[in-house]
Amino acid sequence: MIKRPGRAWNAVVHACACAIVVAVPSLVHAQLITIDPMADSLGKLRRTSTFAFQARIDSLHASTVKGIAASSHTIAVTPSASLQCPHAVGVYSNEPVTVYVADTTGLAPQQEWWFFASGWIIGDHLGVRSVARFRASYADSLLKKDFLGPNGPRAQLLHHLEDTVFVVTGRLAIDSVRPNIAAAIPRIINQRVSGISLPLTIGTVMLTQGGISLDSTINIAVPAALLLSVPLLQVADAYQHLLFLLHVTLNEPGDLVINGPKPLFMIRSADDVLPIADSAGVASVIAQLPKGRLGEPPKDFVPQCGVLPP
Amino acid sequence: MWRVAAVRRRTIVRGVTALVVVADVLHGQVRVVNMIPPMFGNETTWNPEPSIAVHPTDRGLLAASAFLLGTDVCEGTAVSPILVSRDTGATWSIVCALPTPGLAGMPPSDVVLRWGTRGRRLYAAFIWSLPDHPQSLQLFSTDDVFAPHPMQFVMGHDLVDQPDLLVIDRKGHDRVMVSGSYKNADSTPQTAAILWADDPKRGTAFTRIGLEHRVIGGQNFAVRLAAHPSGRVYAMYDAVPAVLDTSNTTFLDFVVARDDLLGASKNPFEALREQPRPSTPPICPIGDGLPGVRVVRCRPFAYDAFGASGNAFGFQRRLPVLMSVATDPTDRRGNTVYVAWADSSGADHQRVTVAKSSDGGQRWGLLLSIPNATNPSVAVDNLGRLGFLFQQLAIDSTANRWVTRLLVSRDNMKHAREYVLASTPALAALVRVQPYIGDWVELHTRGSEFLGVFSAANIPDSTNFPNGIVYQRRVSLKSGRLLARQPVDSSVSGNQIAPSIDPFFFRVGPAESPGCASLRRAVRAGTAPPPLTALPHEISDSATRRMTQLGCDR
Repeated sequence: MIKRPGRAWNAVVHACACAIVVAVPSLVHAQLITIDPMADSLGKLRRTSTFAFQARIDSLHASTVKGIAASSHTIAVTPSASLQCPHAVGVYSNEPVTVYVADTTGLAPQQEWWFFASGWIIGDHLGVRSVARFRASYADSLLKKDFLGPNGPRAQLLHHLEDTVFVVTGRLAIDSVRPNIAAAIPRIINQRVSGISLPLTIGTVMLTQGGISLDSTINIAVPAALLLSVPLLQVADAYQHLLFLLHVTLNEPGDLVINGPKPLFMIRSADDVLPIADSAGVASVIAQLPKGRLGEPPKDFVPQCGVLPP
Repeated sequence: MWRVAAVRRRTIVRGVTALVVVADVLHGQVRVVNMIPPMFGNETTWNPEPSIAVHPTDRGLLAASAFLLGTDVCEGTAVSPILVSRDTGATWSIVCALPTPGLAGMPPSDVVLRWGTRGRRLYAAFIWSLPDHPQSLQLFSTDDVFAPHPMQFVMGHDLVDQPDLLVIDRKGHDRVMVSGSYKNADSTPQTAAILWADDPKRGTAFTRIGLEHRVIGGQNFAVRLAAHPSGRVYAMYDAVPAVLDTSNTTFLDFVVARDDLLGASKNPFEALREQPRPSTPPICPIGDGLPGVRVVRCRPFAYDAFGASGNAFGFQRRLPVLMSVATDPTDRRGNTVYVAWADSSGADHQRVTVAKSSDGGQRWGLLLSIPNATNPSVAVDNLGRLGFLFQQLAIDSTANRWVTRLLVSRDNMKHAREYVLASTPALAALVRVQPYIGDWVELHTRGSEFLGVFSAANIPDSTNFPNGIVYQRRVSLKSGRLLARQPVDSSVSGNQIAPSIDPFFFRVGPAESPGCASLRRAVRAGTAPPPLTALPHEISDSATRRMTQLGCDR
């Protein structure tokens, strides 16, 4: 059973968020340790699957999704931990899930498995297509190690912060230009530019603290495609409360900026936009930066939908 | 023997019809449904430009699309979802179906879905750019819309815009037609074309039909298709006339072509020619004897690809692609055909117009123009009633509103039931990118029922939906807020998530709304209407106005 974040947790997050408007040292060397191949492949699966969860098998040849008939390929399970979750779905632990599997050999009711899956059908309940599965007793510790260990999200964030100059909390307004897809695509296709290959549009990050707007703003460049592809950025800005990892635009070609002069800072990828819930995790990683190596994550942290351990 | 079988069949059909009618009465005349499923209830992305496919034999089965992002849902950036309903649109599910590999997780655009003629296959056409394949038309199909794997590739074609898809029966086989603006490599402006093939699979050769026979000044922006059981296929397209200076204003001709043999005539889509006549008027004359009859010529169009006019047109962009064509199934020969299009007029940013031909497209008469509107779509039911769906910008002192209206008329729009399906605010805060609500809605008929889809702001305020609304996702209609899929705490504000643009499904049956009788009594008696929920600013709360909102007979 996963403990749901409550008011106390939110208070901690907000407190940390308030603290985060920091400059990050530009050169930090993360120490990445090679781990065993099985754990490495589990980590890759976790990162490439849209759904990853530990679940108990309730019944074989069953379906919990309206419109999907039970078949020899479908099993009904109940997740006890959801590690990878689409933004639109959120945490789905303790909710019935139908898993499409190539075959049910070796599966039996009441068994615990880790499933790595792609989306199949999302209606009244969830249906996923299994890409890989592992017995929980075997994969549990490896996954936890991956998530919390030297190749997990904390380590990736540390690496990512190497060339991050500011981490700020705020919301992003793209009010000066509204790129349309038809206009953006030819530029994406035609402009073969190394590094950033997407046209940049200009936005304004309105800084917030604890969800309250400050008077300060920062102009930043944003790859136009991120506005379409990052669900967090499609939220109306009045409702945004996000973490932005800002990089300098020094080496980015100015002719890719489609609305005005190139600003000093930019976000480059989806990794530069994080939910406010990750504030504590980001703050703890930043605290490790001068040493360049990660400290131990909390022992009792339960990985859940990509939320960084504080 | 034949007669007995026919009588039995009629009896069964009548029985089924009676049940359906009873069901309509029981379940209400109008059903409007927000299509985002409950399990997808944290969704905050924008979903404009919906389309819908109505299954030809399975009454309950519908497939629909909109701009839906597959990133982090289906397979990273490799697959995008569609929407499917098993219960005639009462509930919807996201199904990961459209292969969209490559680029940074953008939704596929211009998605059009159609079922095969026997309902065995679902076809999908859409635009998806790939490295070295810019603006590529993609055609996919599947035998099982609920399959746990994406649809199968059929055909791709680079540099295409605004596809429309038509599947017609040819002796038990699917004749699949994909129309669009096929931009030629040599930059010639005649881009209106149709590709077609029977029962196409990967590798099937498609036959190309060029529609434009005239020298024109710019590309054909879009082509829309409609078929009639007689084998007639109508194509409507627009063209930039060559004779006018288009440096400051876009001008458009709206043209209808016809083929009488399912698109496979010796000279395809040349059954309809303008009758030669002297060049009158001197500018933009009609009557050059060439294939394709120009319904109207040289109509100005206020092109605005980036929605730069802002709230003056409800944050909506204006592209010259807004057309619709429909045939009348009650006309045995298929001579009765309706078209609708958008152009500009006077102070209107954009108006939509409906026209009718009763002689197979040779001569046209204008039926109706609606000011300040977009997204026209026409369809005709098996009673010969014309349905006209559009979205009109209502200017309001608080916030302009996009009002989605359906008109249904038996007499060429002299009289019409008018249903307000939605009246939602046009809000700058909801404009993340263009399109906003998009340049596509769809209206279909099944029997005497109208079914369709549109996109609108998803703010769950019951006054935005005079004919009622069903949300599948978690909302508070009382406070007008969308709520997170799972409760975070006991407060409304703590659970609130951001509004966005969502797709909506609607279904309008043949019967008058049950609420109309009491409203009519109130009008006759001169008394106040029965207590109703408050209406938006742009709608006065009179009984007669209310009757219009609900689609009452007048």
